Amino acid sequence: MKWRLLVRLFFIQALWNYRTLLGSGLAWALLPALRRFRATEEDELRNAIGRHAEHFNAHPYLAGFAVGALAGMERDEVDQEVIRRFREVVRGPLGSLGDRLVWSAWLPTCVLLSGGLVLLGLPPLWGVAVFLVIFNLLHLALRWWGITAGLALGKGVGEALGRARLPIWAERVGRAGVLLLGLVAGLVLATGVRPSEPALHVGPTGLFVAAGLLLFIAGVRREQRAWWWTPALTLGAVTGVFLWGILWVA
Amino acid sequence: MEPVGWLLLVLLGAWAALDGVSAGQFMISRPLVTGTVTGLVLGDPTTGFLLGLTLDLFHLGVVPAGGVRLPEPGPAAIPAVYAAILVGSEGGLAVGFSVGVVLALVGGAAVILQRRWQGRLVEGLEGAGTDPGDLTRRLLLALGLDGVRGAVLVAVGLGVVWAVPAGWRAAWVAGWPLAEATTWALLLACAALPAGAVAGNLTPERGRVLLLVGGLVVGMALGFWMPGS
Repeated sequence: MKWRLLVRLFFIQALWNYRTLLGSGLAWALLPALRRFRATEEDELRNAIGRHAEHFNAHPYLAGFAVGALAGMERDEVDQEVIRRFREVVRGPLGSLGDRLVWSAWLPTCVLLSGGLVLLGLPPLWGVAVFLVIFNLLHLALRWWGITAGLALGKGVGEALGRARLPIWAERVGRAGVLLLGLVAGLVLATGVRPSEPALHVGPTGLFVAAGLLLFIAGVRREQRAWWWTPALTLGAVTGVFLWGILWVA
Repeated sequence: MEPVGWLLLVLLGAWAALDGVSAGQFMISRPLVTGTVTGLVLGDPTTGFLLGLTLDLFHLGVVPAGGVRLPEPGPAAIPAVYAAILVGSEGGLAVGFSVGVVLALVGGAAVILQRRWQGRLVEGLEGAGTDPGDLTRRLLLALGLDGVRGAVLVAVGLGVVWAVPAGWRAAWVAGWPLAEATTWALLLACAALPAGAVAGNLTPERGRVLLLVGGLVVGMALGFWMPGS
């Protein structure tokens, strides 16, 4: 049961949509448990699918806690009203905890670690391998832990999550990530992207490095709001440089 | 490029699109990974990695929380690296980066359409439910469409880059006025603002500036003292 739930957990977002979010994927992920514990009559299985297909949301890596716990509650024939309330209660924390730990902290930290190592001389393919291995260590551990704890603890799975103190770990990973962000920025400043070509000298390179530093500081200060006009900035800068090359340099 | 290379890159695009949300999320879908693999297929993994990393830094501050509208940079990095290597020289890097930025926005719009369509696909499931076979068929249909979406996006991107006349590519290379290090400085300056925004996502603490400056000093020291620099 545990393995079948785990494999299906990897596809829990396959039916992601703006109305039920993860709901339909959750129902599909729970099918092995529903078949085993709710298949005494065909109508009962259909109704169980319908109940679990309702609106639900969670971070995909932490959704295992919900899938495991719901499978355990169906196994233990917990009252449907309790199951419905459990789904409502866990979706907020499972979403925000996962976003904070994985998307905001772990993913950028792993990308920056990989980039930093390659800038320090690691071959690119090794850099990609380091990124995928390190990132997925936590990814797979979270999925496995979620299913295991959920099946074992049922509706008490929230206590296991609370004991793990994930927000504190997210904060620690985030601090390491900020350090790595500074380190990668320092490496780029000192060596250029290709180590054989120093970037920190006068002329156009120095101008772009200075502009980059100012934009970097602006990004640090303005955070998320800064993103949306950068594609226009990029296309404008590239086009402008090309026109400058054609009209004045050539 | 040989037909096998085209096929590999289109399949990589399909896998990256699926990995982004629908299946696995092993982060095969990061530009860092798709860019390097594309570079490997085309014989230049270093350019693939560096362009992929720059595109990754450009999109790193965007957090896929709460189903918000996002660009999709993973599949986009494949035509981006192809463009950089096909055009060649410093101008190719700038073209490749621009292709990646634009295609990431197109991919993001395609994801929105896919999610809306999936909303219609799951209609009737809540409450009344369905039989397990029907639910599985709907899920496989959604997975298939997502894979096809990624493959088409990459195939169209590669096709458009390939169809640009050789004379235009040569004119672009000839007209591009910057040396390689300067071009990288320009592209990294474009990625600097969203990369800086990552600091706020990583930790909301005020002390992050000290950590950032500490890392910057260590990075610069390592960069200056590194063999070959």
